[in-house]
Amino acid sequence: MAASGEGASLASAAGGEDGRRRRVSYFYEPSIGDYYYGQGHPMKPHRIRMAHSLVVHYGLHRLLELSRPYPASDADIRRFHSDDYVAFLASATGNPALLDARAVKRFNVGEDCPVFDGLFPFCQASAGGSIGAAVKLNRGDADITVNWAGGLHHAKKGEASGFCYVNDIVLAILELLKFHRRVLYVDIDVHHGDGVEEAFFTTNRVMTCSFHKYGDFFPGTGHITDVGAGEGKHYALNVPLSDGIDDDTFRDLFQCIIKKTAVAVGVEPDNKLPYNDYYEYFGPDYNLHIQPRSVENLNSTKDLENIKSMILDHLSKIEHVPSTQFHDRPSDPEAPEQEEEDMDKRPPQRSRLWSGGAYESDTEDPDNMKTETNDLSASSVMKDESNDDS
Amino acid sequence: MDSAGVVLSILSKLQSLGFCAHLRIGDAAASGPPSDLFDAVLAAFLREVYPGGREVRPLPAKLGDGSRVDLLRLFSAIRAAGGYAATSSSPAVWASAAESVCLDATLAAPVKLIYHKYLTALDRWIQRLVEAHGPFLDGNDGRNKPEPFFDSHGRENEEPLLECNGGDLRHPILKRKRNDMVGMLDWVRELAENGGEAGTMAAGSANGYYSLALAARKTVFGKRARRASMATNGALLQEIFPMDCKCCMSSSTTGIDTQEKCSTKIQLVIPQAGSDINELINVVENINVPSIGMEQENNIIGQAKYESRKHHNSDNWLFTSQQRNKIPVGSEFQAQVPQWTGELPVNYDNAETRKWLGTKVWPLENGNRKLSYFCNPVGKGREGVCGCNLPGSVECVRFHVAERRLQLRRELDSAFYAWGFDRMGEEIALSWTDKEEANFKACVQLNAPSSGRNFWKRLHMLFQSKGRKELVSYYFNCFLLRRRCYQNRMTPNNIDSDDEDETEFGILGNRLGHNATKYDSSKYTLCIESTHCMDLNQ
Repeated sequence: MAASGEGASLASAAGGEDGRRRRVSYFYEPSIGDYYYGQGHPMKPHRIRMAHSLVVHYGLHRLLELSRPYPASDADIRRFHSDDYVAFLASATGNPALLDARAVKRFNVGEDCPVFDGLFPFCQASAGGSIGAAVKLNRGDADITVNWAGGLHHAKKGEASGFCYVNDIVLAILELLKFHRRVLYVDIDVHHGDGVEEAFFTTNRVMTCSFHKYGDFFPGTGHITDVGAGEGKHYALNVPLSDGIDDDTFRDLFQCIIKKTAVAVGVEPDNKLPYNDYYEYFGPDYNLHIQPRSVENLNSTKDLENIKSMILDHLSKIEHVPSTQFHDRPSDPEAPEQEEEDMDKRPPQRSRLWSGGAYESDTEDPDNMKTETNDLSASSVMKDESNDDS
Repeated sequence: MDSAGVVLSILSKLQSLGFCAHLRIGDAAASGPPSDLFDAVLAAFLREVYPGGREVRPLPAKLGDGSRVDLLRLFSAIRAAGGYAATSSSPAVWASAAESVCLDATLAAPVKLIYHKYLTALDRWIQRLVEAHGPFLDGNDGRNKPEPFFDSHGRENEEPLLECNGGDLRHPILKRKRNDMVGMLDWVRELAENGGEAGTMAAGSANGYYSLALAARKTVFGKRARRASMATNGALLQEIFPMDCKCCMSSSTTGIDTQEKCSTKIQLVIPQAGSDINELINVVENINVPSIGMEQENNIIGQAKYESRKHHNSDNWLFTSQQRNKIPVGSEFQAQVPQWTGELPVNYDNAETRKWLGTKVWPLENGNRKLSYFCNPVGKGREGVCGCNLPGSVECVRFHVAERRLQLRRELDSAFYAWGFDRMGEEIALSWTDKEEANFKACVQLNAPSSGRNFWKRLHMLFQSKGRKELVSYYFNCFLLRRRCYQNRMTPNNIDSDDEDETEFGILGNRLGHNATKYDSSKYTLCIESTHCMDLNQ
């Protein structure tokens, strides 16, 4: 593995574990960079444009299929969000004088989540990209899909939160659920993925797993003992961490809990950024990888062991999935998960690529597409679950 | 009131709001220079309001030329004039404020900036206190019962008693309730300090304070973290812009007993209704466990809180339920997930579904494979060296960026325009005149956030013919980019790209294209046909 300051992607043989090339589909809405949350607000959609510029200037586009997303309509968004809330978003304008104060309060817009000009089209583009990504996966058109304008994991059914208004992730998962019995959601943003967890808190068809900082930190949820409720009990996993965790520790913890090796593909971009329109934003070093500040790692070995053992204990309580009828579908019931990351920090540069060759060459038979199985259910122990185990 | 008294009065106001709870001022400090005393109190306060720290505000405060600014005097002057909000658009006030700190009246703007950087948080809190005629509270809609906070769905009531939004603070019914809460907190504090005195305890029960305290605790436990913080702009915003916790940043904390346990590095975002409520919780719990000693000097509520949250040393922080926010359950919260039937959707290939695939932009339909041979390998960054006269200079960067754009245009063909690369980068400025650019910069400078104004409003007024999109585009593609360009070269070790107050920057390098066609007309010019043809549309 590379030393700090350089790439920290999970290594793999070029072309993937099983030697098969991955097809990656990427959604980008060219107007996304024009949306503006307002003066002083840290969330800047412009950086999605900056990321896209880097992707292209590194030549990564040659290994991807890139599409402009279809904007989700309010009906599409209502698949998850409440009618009132969607109606409010669709009609809200950037003119504060026209906003109903009660609505503002009810839907939690205002400070963290301001109503800005073009708010709804922004949400439509973000959600459209994620839903489109799910459709591509369902249809088998791609193995991995990316939508950097998405990842708005804090949005709730009836209100905005943490800079997020429409939860594109929930909408995408709902689409995936049309074709897959269960979906695994992994959230590695530093904040707890509360919107997604809450949406699927009571169902066992979606397992949400979030690694986040916990302890006097937004949003305040994500305690290790939050495991879901009702039918969804044990289908929410929370890994709460403290400041300072280093790459190696995180990777070990992650791999241990997720029990799979992420399959990264061949290309590790150079650290020296290529010249691009936004070059100066990356000064004074102009490097891809930020030199992390040295911070004390407040996660003691003991804490981490405790976390690990509690999580594995949670996992063991999941009812083993009874053998299902394997239908004639090409892919497994366990869908490949989409990793979505929030964009609070510099856009993560890791993107999964297909090494070599043209994207659309028909060298593999799509019907034989085999995805990584989720070991969680395979190795879980069958246990009698009484109603009130804590 | 003498100056030291002023500081003490400010401190006691802060403590009534729940800040600086563990701060005690020794006699030595109280008789020292009042401005130093104020600086120390301010430092402690700011550490609590902005934990974590994005930028240390060094104390004592100084102007660019090194002259010290007496924050105590400045604060007093502005408070006397009505507070920051009331005075921020009165230049006269600031001119005289500058004079009151023994600076020239022309230094009004930097003095105001200092105020903004150091004192606005304090000003805001004190202002709230003044407006409320009492500390932090708001009740509203005339709800009288402290319980129940949860309605029948197990979901908390919309507006529990303790939420503060600074709104209806003058409602007469609420004043009384507020006084109850104030009384209750005073009682609780008294209990904490003089633990176990029977008389105090009994008094509390008689006034209903005990049950009120329990109800308050219940509310806070059930309160969702995502309620907007009453401190500043909202929970997540506050966390994004914390301040570095460098506990020893102020060397003037002499004589003050501060308990800075910065090894705990607790990021004290206030997602809930004020940190004093959290302290309250601790105290209320401690009432029930009399063996927890409150004997330690200087160890009152705040310290108790820190002790119990010292999660880096204790084994059981993972298991404590303090501050745990319950996930609400109900049809208003969860998504509707149908049962899995094993049947797949029919017609998944119809137009309705296919529209989600969007519009493919790359690879190109008639993909020109040949070009890829001439492109850099995938993942290649920039070369380490270049042939420019001044490598790394603004001109060098501009040249290489332009070079890359041309290469990209050739390779991407229509995708170059589809992705908006023609509308990216400094080239945007080419459609702006010099005057317009100068006006833009001046407008942003004059209306920087520290002035309390929103420069976007002014920009819209100034550039009526340009739409929002154009202004935002110029802002990100040119204005901010140039600022970063300046910062990268002038202050490479101290860059905060989010600091919108930083408007003092020059434009480095030649204006785009302006010198490209300059030539010395006295010299003999010869026209030669160019044999190097670069037809981009080939």
